Amino acid sequence: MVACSGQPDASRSVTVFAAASLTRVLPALALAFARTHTDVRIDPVFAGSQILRMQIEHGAPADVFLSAHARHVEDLAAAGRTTRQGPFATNELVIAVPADAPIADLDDLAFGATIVMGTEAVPVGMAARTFLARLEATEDRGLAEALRRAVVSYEPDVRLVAAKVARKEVDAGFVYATNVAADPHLRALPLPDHLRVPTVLHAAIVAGPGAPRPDAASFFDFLLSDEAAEVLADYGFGPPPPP
Amino acid sequence: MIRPIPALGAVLAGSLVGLYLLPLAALVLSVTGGDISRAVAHPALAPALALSLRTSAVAMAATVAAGLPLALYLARSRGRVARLLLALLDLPIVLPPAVVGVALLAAFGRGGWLGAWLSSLGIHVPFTALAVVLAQVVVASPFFVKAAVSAIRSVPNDLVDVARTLGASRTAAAVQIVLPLAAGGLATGLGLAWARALGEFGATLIFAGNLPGTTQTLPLAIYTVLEGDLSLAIAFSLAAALTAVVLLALVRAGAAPWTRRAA
Repeated sequence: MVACSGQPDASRSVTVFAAASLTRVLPALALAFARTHTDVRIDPVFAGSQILRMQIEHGAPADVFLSAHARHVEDLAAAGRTTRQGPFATNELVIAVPADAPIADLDDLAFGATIVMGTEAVPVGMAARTFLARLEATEDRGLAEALRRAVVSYEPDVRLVAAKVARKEVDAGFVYATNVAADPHLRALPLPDHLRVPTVLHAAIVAGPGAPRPDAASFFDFLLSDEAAEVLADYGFGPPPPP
Repeated sequence: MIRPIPALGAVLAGSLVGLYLLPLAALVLSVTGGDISRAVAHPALAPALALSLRTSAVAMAATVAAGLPLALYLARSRGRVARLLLALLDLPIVLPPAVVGVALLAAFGRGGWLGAWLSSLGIHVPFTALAVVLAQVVVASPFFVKAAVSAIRSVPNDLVDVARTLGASRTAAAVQIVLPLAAGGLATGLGLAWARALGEFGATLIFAGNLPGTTQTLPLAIYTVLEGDLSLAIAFSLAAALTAVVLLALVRAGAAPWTRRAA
């Protein structure tokens, strides 16, 4: 055993493949984790969950995978590519508009507005499709159709959706509540309770080619701790659903 | 007797060729007949291919129309402005395409310099096929203009002078003497630019967005299906590679008679 030198050596690092919606909170989580694990470095990689999942399927060196949707983690688990997995936080789909835009509610988007949303595979796009299907089933079919027609672009991750709304290139975009909480240029439109689409973020330890990585396991356990829940709450994420 | 390439050089050159061919071979070999028929039947492929061909053709028409006069000026002028412009031409080539996309938004977006004025006229450029064309022109046309400048400079000045003394106007000399003699180089530049336009991804995604049938070009369609289905994306990529090869061959074939006449 090498004596502890205080310098984190290269082998004590955890590569975390994280959904784009975790871009801001993960560095804060890593900081909190470092308080108890001073010699372990967290190396984050951000992209749409579906891209990360594909990279992991093709052997990318991820230790921990944080997905914005259960499906990507479940598919990896079914293929034997994870050793442990479970929900660690929740988020919620919102319709964001520029903070100072004269848009009060959904109906204001029905005529001549431009909207961006995620692609079919990115979790934020899946949630938006759930929302539109629910809107179609419970309320105004015409409004759902109008919103669908107003879409001018399908983006590969939520950061691109949020950026296009914040820059006012479009009138509205389907993002997460945490995106709006983090950006003063964004405001969420009020939605009735039955149209709210909660989302659950899942964590997984990726099965690597070598021996199990204890540091990956400790970061995974940390994500389920009260300490991590506090950091996540600071950034607008909710606690995982009770098992 | 000196061998044309020493052994080490041969190994290095060979590994470079291998690096070109290996991914391409893997692309071709990993596609099954089933993937290809799924790709052909996929609703995204035909509109994306058509949009790529249409937008890149318009982008290349604009590139040649505006790029030729620019290249003629840059090739013949030794002034400071010309030198500065030549250096500027490298900028779209070295900048990451995503940066070009953000810059185009800053100019033509709703809040952008030109965009705010265009908006007041009711013209919205971002998220339209016009935005796709603009992105392609910005990233691809420098390849044409640079190649055209070299090709035009390689035409001996004496020939132009003789034509002028025989009474040809500047324009006539350019059209009848310089351009035919430079045709080979112009075609090479056009081929390069066209290939770059077809492959454009980053600037298009940011500036034009990703909407099937309107702004989803073949590279964007590949990226979109890649998210769900890699083997389908590979079949799409094969279609993109074939399109580029066919277009390059056509451009070369189109320039061949000119090149022969010049020789």
